[in-house]
Amino acid sequence: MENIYLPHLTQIAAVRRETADTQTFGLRFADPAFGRSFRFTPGQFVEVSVFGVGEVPIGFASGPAQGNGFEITVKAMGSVTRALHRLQAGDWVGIRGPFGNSFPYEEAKGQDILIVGGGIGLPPLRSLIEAFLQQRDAFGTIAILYGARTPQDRVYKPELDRWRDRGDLLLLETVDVGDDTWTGPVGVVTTLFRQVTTDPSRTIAYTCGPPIMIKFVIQDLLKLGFAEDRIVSTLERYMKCGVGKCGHCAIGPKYVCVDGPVFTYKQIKGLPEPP
Amino acid sequence: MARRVQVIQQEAVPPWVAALMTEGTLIGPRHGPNGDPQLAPLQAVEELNLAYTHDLLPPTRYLLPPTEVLFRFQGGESLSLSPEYDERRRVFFGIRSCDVKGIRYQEQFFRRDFPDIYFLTRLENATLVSLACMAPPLPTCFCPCCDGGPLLKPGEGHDLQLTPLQGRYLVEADSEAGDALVAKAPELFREATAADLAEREELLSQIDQRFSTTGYLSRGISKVTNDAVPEEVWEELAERCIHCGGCAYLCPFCTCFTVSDRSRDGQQGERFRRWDHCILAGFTREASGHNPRDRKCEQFKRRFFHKLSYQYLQREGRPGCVGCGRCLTTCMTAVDMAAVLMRFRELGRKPKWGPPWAVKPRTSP
Repeated sequence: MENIYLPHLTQIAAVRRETADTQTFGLRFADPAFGRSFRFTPGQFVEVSVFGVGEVPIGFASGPAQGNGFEITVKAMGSVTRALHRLQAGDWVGIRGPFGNSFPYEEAKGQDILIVGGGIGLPPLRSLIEAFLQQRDAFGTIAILYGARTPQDRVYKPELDRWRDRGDLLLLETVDVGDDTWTGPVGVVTTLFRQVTTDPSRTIAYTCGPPIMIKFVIQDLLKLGFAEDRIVSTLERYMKCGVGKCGHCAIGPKYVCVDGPVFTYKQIKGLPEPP
Repeated sequence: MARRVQVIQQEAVPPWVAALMTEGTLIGPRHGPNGDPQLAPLQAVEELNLAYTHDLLPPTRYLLPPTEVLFRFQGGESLSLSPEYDERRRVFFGIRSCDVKGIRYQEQFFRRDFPDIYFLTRLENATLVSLACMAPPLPTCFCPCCDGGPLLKPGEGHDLQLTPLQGRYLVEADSEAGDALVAKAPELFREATAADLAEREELLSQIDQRFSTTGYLSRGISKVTNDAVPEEVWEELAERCIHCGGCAYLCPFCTCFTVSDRSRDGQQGERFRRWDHCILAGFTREASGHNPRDRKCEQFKRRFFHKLSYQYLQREGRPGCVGCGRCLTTCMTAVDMAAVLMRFRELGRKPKWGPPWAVKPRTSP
């Protein structure tokens, strides 16, 4: 019987600072055989251990096909994420997973894609965007709307530029509060909806970000005419085991860790304590 | 295949138990220092007291300890992790049917999808000998309402069941592990006769009168599932809860836990888990301080939704209560399972008498 609570040793291969409180970690498995067998899909997550401090669930931030490793982007928030930020390339962490369900991908083939991300909600969407771009021709138009609190809070700045320059997708950005360096739009992410034309009957919308943002994004998408099962989001809860045992992430009859974290609005709507 | 039904005389039980004690740790009922009945590892046969009422603590703690180390880690040049599994042989002797049901529910829960090696290793090394209740051991017992007892049918999870008759026990094995326990001292047993079986039937026919059987649980399931409990009733019940956690710590069904690390120097230490409880205010609090279930009422509701809603009933195959009555004993503010079910029963009814939570008669339509 496999021990579901025993992490696999993983080395930090690279650390990249994204913002004042957010870093991206490239992780590489100590055991290459395990690395080869490790397959994940966008939307899933891993439990990351800093030994002696604890374990936290973090979504995959990189695309699904990436050799012997993957990336996670972590904001320093609690004790484990702060400890993670103190680690450097070469240090060890533990990984359990991949856990949870995935963003609908095959179902999105032939459809237009609308991605709405806020702040630290972009990383799991980046995993999905990379998957879309790996098979770019399989999808219709792709529009990415990204909102950050301030220009300094934008993650993946070089990547945002690359996406903007590609020509086969539309990237629109906004910040809640601008500064002298910012020449783009100012306002919450939903203000960008005016700048895109979507056909709700052939578009799937994916949104991830702070709960309050998700709430308003969903409201606006419904107003635009999106069906409830064409709005895809993620739920987050305090979580320990990641495998449906510890009980923390249960909402109504669903466990975010095994039934989610990806849910359509149709599913979210029926749950008690919505985000 | 129908298994043999055998009989052991009351005075032959101690020598049998002595033989079983060579099997491993024998956990059975004894009277503790204060005279309280407790299920504990027995050091001597004389400690065994099958005429006990009920241990306030369910045997869960021997399979899912309140705190247990998952693995130790050792840092330095290279990092190594060493998990620890408890493979000690245990015989649970004389536990109640409700506790067997609780253990088998937990087994199903911990086996499903992602098997929990720690719990299952302990359980696979355990043999369950249950003791049927011919009368309620305590007035708080309500197992017949929740399919929790008072005795087990074949396939309900015991390895061996003892049914007390006059001066003797009927012994029914329901697994090879159960047969093996009888085989430790076969000379102490004889085949059951028609008279033995008739005596059991006679006792069984009286069970309905001896136990209070009510339909409260099914009513509770319907109310919770259909969201038919008014918010103010939840509020009123939750207001009385003092978040002590006693109901969950004593519940033979509850499985929730939290996980923490402990280390002096960051180089070596251990990861351990310990019981946690959805009714505690911090159960869902996130690192940012945000708590999506910060209302006391929602925390309280969560416990009963998990135990009674049809969605969970479908998921777990049964409601989350065996009627052991422990939460009734421990709850200081009377918002235990029975009290909550009784309150639901009063919904929309004009009370005949005035309990403190009685619904006020409606004055307007």
